[in-house]
Amino acid sequence: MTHDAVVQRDARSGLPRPSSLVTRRRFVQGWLGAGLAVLVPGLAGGVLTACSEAVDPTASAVIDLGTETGLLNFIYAVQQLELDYYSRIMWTTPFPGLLATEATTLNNAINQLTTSTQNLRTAIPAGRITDVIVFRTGHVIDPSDRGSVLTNAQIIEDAAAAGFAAVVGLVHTPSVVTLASTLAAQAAGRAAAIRTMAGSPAAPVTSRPPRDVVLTLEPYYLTTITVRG
Amino acid sequence: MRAFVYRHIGLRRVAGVLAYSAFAVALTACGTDGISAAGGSPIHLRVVNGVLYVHGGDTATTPIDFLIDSAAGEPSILGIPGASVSTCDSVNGYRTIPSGVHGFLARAAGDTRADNSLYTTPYATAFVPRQAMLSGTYYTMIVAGVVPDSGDRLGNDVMFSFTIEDPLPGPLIESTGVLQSRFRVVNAAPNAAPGSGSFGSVSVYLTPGSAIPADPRVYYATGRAVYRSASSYINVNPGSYVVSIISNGTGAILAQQPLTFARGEVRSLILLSTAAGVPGTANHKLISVLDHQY
Repeated sequence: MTHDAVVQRDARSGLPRPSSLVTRRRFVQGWLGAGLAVLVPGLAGGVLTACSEAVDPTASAVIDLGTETGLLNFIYAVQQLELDYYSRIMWTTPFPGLLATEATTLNNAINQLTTSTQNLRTAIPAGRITDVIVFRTGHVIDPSDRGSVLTNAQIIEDAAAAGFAAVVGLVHTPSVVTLASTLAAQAAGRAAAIRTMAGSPAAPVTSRPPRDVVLTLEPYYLTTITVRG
Repeated sequence: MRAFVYRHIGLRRVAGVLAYSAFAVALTACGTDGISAAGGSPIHLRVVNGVLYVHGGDTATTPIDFLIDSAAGEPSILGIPGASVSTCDSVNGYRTIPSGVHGFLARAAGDTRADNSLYTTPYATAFVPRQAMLSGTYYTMIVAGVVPDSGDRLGNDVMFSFTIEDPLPGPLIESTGVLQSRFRVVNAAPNAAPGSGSFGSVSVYLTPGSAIPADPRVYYATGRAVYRSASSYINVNPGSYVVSIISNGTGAILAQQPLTFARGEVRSLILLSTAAGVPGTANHKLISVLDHQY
């Protein structure tokens, strides 16, 4: 018998029951041990998780304009912006006063861009930038205001048409030239349609270096796009 | 030093506490009806009376009583006028009651017979629908249909239906700093589609300003509301608009109403039929009620 323990005795036999001999010190030690056994692995796991290399695929994208793949990536990044822009306009609450014919134009643009972005995924089998580029259209435009929506749509489409036209002159592989020409023609068509909706005068498409186009469209991107080449 | 013996004292105490806790939890989980989970925030409900009674060759609106848990007085909502929305005591006209399971009975105002309920089975017998109501939630109970004022009523004449209000504010447009308003259209109009009581739907058209458009269908429909249901929420900048409601079945204009939405408002626009006949603006009306103000 230790000096700080009490012996529990069996009621009938009067013999001590060793299993009942638990000191305060042992009790506290036992609970502390059990607690640490649970806490330490948990903390270690938490620290390991916090230190893991989690990379947000939407955070950044690098486009090398010195290669054909990079030029197609440029088109891909701009088309993702266009598709996201029109989708947000039409799939939330379109601005009041949107005519049914104009809605058809915007829905056609969504369908066209959905198809062409899928085609670009096939055309860039390796070295393609992220498929999920994120935008901040809600921060830049007022989606319930016709003027705001169409003004920004015109900026995006004019830049896209001009940039895609420049890409046509920079690529050499016949299949890529064909693809870029098709996408440039489609972008010019969308730019003309948006100008009609906005009541802006028609304007010919003048090619612009893709680097300039990325700078023009930078305010719309949440994804950081770095241009090289 | 005093010894610390826990085997007989501690374990028994722990076991006792656990037993009492389990008993208390069991008591808490069982409401008066044995299945409701009382506690938490209360729920809030309003009632839309979209019932058209057929009496002889005449079809007309009529006041109804909406009984909650068969109570003859409050919290039941009595005497709701025809083609209207209840107005109760709590904020924005809701009736506030405890959360949990409740039973509901709707019938003509002043009628005391339980078997005259508007809610009936497919075999034309009355029943009392029961519904678990989640705490802190806002409900709009839609009592709508065309029923004979006597004789058999089939189960789909007046179906038990309700919608849940969205408690969220409209989007904040960061480019302008404007907190948008939002609204939805509740279709409680049994005469909105050909053949009263069918499952017709309506489209919602929104045009800026207060000028009534001659043909709203040239615009893009911003919402759609199925019968006894609600459209999705439509976000707009604060200001004046004309809301036009078109029957998808006939293309008829059912309501055209200039409305002003203030910053941060959440509203329900409730479409009601006021009479039978060819669907149009003459026998429909649109009531705008404030759900929340942010």
